[in-house]
Amino acid sequence: MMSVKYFNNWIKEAGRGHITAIVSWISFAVYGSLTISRLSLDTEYTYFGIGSMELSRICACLGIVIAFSEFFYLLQQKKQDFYYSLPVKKSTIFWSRYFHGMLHFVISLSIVMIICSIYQSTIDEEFRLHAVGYSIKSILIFTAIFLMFYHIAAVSIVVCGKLYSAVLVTGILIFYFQLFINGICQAFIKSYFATYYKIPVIEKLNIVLVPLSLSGKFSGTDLFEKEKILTYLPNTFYGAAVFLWLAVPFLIFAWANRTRKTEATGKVFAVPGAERSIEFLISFSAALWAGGFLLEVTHINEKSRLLCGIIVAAVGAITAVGVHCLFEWIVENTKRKIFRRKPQLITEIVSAVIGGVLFLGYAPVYDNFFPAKETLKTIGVSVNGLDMGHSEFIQNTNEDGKFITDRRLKQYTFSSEGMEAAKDWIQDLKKSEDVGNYIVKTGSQDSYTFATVCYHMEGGKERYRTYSVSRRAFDAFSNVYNTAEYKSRAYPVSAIEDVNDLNNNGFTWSDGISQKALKLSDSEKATLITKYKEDIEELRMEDLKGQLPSGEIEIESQISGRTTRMIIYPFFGQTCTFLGQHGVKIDTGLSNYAVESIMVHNVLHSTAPGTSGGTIVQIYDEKEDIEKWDNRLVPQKFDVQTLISPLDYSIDAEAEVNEETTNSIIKIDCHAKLN
Amino acid sequence: MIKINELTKNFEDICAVNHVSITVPDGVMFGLLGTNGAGKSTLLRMLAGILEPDGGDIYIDNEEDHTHLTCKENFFYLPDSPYYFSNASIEEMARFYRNQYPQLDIEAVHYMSGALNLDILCPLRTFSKGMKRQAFLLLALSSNTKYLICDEVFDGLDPIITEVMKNLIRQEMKERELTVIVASHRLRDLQDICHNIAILHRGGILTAGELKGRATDIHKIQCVFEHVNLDYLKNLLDVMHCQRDGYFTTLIIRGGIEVIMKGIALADPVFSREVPLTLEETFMTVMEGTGYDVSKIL
Repeated sequence: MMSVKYFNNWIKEAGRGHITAIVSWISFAVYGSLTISRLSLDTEYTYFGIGSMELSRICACLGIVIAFSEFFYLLQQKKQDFYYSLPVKKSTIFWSRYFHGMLHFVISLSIVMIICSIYQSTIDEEFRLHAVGYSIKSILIFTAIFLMFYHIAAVSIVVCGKLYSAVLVTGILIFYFQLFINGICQAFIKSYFATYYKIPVIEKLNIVLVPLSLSGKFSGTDLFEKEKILTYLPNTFYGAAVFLWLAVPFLIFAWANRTRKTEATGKVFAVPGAERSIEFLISFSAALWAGGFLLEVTHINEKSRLLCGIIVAAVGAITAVGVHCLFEWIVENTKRKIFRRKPQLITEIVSAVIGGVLFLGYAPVYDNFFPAKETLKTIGVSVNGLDMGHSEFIQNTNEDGKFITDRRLKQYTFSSEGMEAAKDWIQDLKKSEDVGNYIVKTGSQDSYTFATVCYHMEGGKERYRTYSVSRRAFDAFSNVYNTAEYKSRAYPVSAIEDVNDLNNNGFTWSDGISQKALKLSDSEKATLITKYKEDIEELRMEDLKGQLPSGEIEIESQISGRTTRMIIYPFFGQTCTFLGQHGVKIDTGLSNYAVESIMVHNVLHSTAPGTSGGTIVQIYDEKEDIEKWDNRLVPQKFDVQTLISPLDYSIDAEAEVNEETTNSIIKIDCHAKLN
Repeated sequence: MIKINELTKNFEDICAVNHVSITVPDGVMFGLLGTNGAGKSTLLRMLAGILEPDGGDIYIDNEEDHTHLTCKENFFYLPDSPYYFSNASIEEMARFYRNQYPQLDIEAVHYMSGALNLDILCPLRTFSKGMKRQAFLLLALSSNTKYLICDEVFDGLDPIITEVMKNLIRQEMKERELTVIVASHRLRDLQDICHNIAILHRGGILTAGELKGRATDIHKIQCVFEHVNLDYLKNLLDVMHCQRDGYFTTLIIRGGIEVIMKGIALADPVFSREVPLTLEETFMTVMEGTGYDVSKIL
């Protein structure tokens, strides 16, 4: 029976090369020194444990490096012969090394966490309250992250017989799902699913199946508020995912190490099951990738779905065969028979073909989805370009504008009359368009803009779709816009029920050039809000056509410091009258100010082949020139309806205005009105 | 005593060791002879517990599980190119082996190192091939295990170092009942030290046991004839090998010595006498008819 002393002796033996100790202790010494330096400068946004992306990445790297250092003997036949010829169990050598690597990491991490915690406690009173809990949680969380990568690398080494294949399998385990989801599935989804915006399940899979993303999420690196970070507890779902990433590789390498044959060292794969699995994954993914790549490059799905399906299946099958044969050649099977695994080859081909066809077959179901009445809880709608300035519109039209749509989907979420109107509008939209055959977003000439919808289902599920919106459909959106629910989201002040809540808040009038604090009593503030609400109630989307705001009132909360905007249009009769009575000049513009100069950037686009665009910059400082321009220019701040009330976006101007009350020069960015 | 019974090992579709059965008595030096790829190293690695056999059994002192730790403590495996830790010296390796083989005699390591002029504190990586082999042999012998398994330990060494190493082994065998199994692809490395030799060929065993004993009815006769009639002799006796060198004719003949000498007397020799067979000649005669090319191991 193995004694503890005997096992401890082998743990000491495992440290003979000192690589693990050197790597682990030096990494944490450097990390600790740098973190303490940063903490001495800033304790508000510097986190030594939870919330630290650097530590998360260090733990991941250490997991891989230490695993390779500890289990490298499994890839060296000479060393393995030496160890296995000694009177010691193979399992003792393996597990003593496993614990040796883990101990070095845990001890060095714990020491650094304790030192940093003590240091921050001496300079940060807020942290002191959370010091113990934060430090312990950090040690546990980052040990779990380390173990994830430690186990991934360990399983790769145990199932492989060569260094390069072990490195390759480690890379596959870490990056496979990320590449599969983002590179392969997304290519099919974007090509086939015309109404695709995002699929929450895939977004979650993209985190839980990707160890690097999961480690970031699990260690709270997506949090920014200090209070949240100090009191952070990992989400159970992500905790379970981390546990699986720990446990599954652990079970595999524990089993594989028992069954692994010594003579397998030097082969590409030491465990036949691993060889088959990797062969399948690579062939299957390569086949799907080839199909997806073909779709992205040729857009054949826009011509004929049947033809597309046949071509993608054929390309997938050919690629599967090619990659399978290449793999067989690389693994150097002794018989040199490339087609030795015919059933597996057939499985790879069939899986790849089914995978490709599944996307194609599911596309109509996906695109024609519309929730049943009883299953829909709320609905979020974001129409690109509505209640939106031009720069935001351009950003949102491009791929990188998802965060704008996500924010607007939260803002414009309806549950009552707005939801009913939105449902009707979407159904009309779906009827008028052959969903699945049109090109989303602004790719189609018929498409005016696009709308993104989030169906919040009973039970908490969310389904997102993007629909192309024609000019007629955009105008028809007024049925939604004109509902009180929509207006309460677009004009938040109109949704305030108890106007007395605003009593202590500061009201500031802005005409886009200068600001003026409004001296209003509590009752006057309440009256202003009431009148504004009445104006909003009467507002129709059609009224906005060609209209620009006269100004805006900013309401600054004395409690939270947050600012709420009240956009004032000239046709807001009651509000404008009230403001006029309280000394606010509603119809002021640049022409009412002493404009010193105007710099105009005129962006010229290429209009004919062989010509190139450019920018003409002109500076006007003569009175006559300024007078020509100041009536045309509108502060960019008031470009709030780029589709309903567009401006001339080819002209970017900067006006220098002499602000007489403060005797200062202020610069105002403007666009020109359309001629 | 080591008893190997029907031992088999396959590497995928290659049969490296094919139903090999050998018995190694205690206190002898047993040679495993064979060309490269014959299966010698595989057999030794299985014996040392490095590889697991696909079939057959290995009994060490009648113990069924030869990979059991108590059983393995009786073994020291010495490969052709021994592994040592980077920058490790003889002293450091001795201390490591002491943890594995508690009976290892550190003083003996010091004594033998001194006798062989090996610096005990010098890193092994600075040693020549022969010095490394000597260093590990003295570590192996100092570990006081009952069995020593050596794989090609004399390969590539100059005759002086080979002789030194053989003497070390002989001396240790004399002092205690050490059993040595040594594999080589050259008969000359083994002929003057091994009591028993087994020949491995393509994973199978061609012959094993005490060869000289098996060659009792084979005799080597040196003769001088005035007019020799070899055909007459070949018809009369079971002549296995005949070589003429000037006046001398050397014959290897199967049969009883008296019958052979009478037969030669009928050919009217000027001179005739029996001389001892070399191990090579013994091999050649024993292996005759098996189809094995003995020249490969000479």
